[in-house]
Amino acid sequence: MGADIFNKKRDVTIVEILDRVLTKGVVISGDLVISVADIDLVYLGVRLLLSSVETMEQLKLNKGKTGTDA
Amino acid sequence: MHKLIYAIIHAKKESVCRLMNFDIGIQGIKGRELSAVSFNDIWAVVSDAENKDSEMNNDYALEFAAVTEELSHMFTLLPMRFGSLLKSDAEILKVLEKNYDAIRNNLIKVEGKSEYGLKVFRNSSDIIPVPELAEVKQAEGNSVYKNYILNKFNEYRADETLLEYSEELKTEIAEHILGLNAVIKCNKVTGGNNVYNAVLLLEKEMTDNLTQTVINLQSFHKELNMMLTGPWAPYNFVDITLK
Repeated sequence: MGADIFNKKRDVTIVEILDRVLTKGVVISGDLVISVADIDLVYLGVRLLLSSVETMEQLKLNKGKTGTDA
Repeated sequence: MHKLIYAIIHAKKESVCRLMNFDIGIQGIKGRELSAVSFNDIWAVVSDAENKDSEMNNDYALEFAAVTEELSHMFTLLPMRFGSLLKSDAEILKVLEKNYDAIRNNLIKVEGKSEYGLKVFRNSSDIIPVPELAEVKQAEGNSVYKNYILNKFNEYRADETLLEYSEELKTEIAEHILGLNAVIKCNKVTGGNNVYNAVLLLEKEMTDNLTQTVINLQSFHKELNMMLTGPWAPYNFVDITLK
């Protein structure tokens, strides 16, 4: 019975996971990152990924409102 | 080739050796071999990684999270944010050494504990009093500006009511959950029907008690939809920037 409360829906879980690994946890300071060649690119990649998650959520919201797959 | 850091763990050498010998079968993203860099009793679990955007996509972020999750079942750890690349093992060693005290303090704070997420949703129209919305209808036939102001006023009142409701709910949930000796961090609600959004840190053995508490709350508030997720590594309860 207890397990029913844990939401195992894949899409919700993915958003929860990405929210954590992309925006939480231990970070390396900007000073250090900048001192290493190309590292900025990595963080840029993460920001782009984050943006795509937000877009995905927005698409899901729109889909819910219109009731279509568009 | 750079080094991608997954987590910083606190462990005895023998346990980490078992991990690195693949006795427990964990691999890094893209099936890469895991290795560990240590300073005293703390270890950074790492794998090779290329500094390319192609390695920073959703799939690898999920693989990265899976590695952290597996590790969290075995060790007390501080999860790293995805994308934490450094140039070499030597550089990681320098970071561990320089930040040792802060890392240890954070590890002590989360030792034996897991993070959980609790979100609560409700249809906001159930919360907003109907008479306030009716005022807009009365204004029909009046000037466009009056309607605009009334609509804005109602939106404001609706937000206020929702906020008051969220605050009451926050207090009620806290009363139930604090009995579990949990640390609660309330986050901003995500909008729409979300009326409560928090993360909790509590002892791993209290999981069943938390589940039961949420089941009880859910039974009492049938108008609400509660979503409990976890156990997670303590992503929201680490407070450290490695320098």
